Amino acid sequence: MSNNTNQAASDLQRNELPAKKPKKSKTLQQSDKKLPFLLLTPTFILLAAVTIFPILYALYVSVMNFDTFGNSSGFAGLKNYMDIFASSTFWNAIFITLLYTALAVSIEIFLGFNLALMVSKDGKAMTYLRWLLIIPMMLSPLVVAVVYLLMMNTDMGILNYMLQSIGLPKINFLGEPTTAFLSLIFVDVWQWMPMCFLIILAGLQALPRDPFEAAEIDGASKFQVVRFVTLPMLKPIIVVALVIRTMDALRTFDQVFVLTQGGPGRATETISFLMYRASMKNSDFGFASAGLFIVLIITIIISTMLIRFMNRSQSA
Amino acid sequence: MDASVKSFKRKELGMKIFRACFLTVTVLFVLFPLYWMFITSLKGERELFSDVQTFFPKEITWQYYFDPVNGIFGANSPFLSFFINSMIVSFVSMVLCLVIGSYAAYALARFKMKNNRNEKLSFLILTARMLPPIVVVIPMYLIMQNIGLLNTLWSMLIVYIGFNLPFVIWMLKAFFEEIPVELEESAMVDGSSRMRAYHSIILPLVIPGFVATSIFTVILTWNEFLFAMFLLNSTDKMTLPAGISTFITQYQTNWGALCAAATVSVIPVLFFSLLVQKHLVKGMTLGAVKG
Repeated sequence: MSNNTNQAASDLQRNELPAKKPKKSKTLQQSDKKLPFLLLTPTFILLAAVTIFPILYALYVSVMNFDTFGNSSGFAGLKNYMDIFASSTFWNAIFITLLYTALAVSIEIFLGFNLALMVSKDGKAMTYLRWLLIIPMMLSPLVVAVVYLLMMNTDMGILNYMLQSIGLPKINFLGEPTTAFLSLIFVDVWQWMPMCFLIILAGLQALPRDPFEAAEIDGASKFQVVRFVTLPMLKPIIVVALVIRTMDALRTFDQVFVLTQGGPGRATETISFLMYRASMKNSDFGFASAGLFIVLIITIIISTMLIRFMNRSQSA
Repeated sequence: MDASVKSFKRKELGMKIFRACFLTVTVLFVLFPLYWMFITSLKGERELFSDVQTFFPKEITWQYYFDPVNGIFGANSPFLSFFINSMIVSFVSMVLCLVIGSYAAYALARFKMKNNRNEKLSFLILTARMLPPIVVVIPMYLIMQNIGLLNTLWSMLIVYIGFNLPFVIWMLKAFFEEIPVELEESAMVDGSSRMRAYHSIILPLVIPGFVATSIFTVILTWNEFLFAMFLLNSTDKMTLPAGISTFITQYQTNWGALCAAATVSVIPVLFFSLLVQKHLVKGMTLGAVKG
């Protein structure tokens, strides 16, 4: 009975309302609930296939024993993890990677910021410089490393030739622990300082003019303007550059592979290179997979910290 | 008064000269390695190893490029197959990535989901990009070995599509968000379905965004070394970076050929990157900063 009246009422309503619009918008809403998930499904399947699935597989491998041919030979338990924790090479690689990242990224941001300040008011210099500075970061890090391998060669490299022609002694760029490490950072700065520059320049151009004019009227010096007006306003952008560069620098591999192979000794062995050596050269897949989990955990910690930092700087 | 104006002007001039010098040094610093790479590929063997280095080759030789025996385009060199492999992998993965990613990006940019789920899902996708590739590539090597895809371009395609998807989605999402919602709404009020509104109204408007995103994706794949080095081990399957790395040998690196190969591999990237200049900052920051 009540059903009937409802039906009648809704019929009445449908007849009275001018368009079929209410009905239509209802189906639209319904499809709206399923459609986005339908559209996202292929993406999530693929992402799971290249991330979650391999990570789970690594978990399996990390608790197995592997012989020198890369075949598994029984359950190992936590042995591989114990090996990792006791391994000084592993912690050395973590240390090298963190030091490399900290040094390279801070130099890149410092130089990029100063360069951006220098050209931001000069339209012509800005356009040309932007056009040129795009080049390094678009190149394959591998190709860049190859060119520097040639230029840093002790005997025939152009860098030593230039040093000698102005009367300085030769530098063994890639042959000694400290210089090899610094050379890698130099190459990293060459390639990625431009990116920091471009990001910061984009931020500078988007800043409002008023605070600068106010500071000028108040008689602030150039340094004071940068320190108390530009920097605070630019902080969110600088943090974006910092986050992106840090994530990239933590995975440095190509340059190490070409320029130093982790050497001399283990002075430039980044975590990515150590994992490569353990797996592909020594076929110690169990050890490498256990190491991956520690790398994964460290990456998660660092990226969570960075993202918190980024969100805070953006909301402030 | 007059003196102070003069000193002010002198100061300005000094500042200008300092800046000009600084910028010149920066430009030389940036361009020199590329110049050196190209020049080295044109030098003869004797000039390359002579005690006096030349900043411009005395004798230009194209033997490392076109010599039928030693040149990288010669019959013996695997370079051309590196180049073709790189082209196949970059373009096929780019197209598939864009097709899959565009729907996901549209869903995340436009649909209102419960509890802010859009943002959570977008963030989840982004975490896939933050993952260090080394974490994935070692188990991937074992998996590909088990399913028999090791050393095939298929393995490269799967990996590159998956790994570039987050980038594509975030970029396209930023482009979709720039387009006013009212456009679709009016189309839907006029009776077209959501997907039809997307295909006929939104898609044509974001074509510039698609072009920029596809160029970035091609460059990312073109330059990728780690996955290629792990998953490809025969010369005929290698992409450019993996192939070029095999030119380096401990005792007798053929620098001329190496530099010629590097130069040719860089040309498409230079060309493409000039096309996407305008979107570069957006691309580098996944749409977080509008450049």
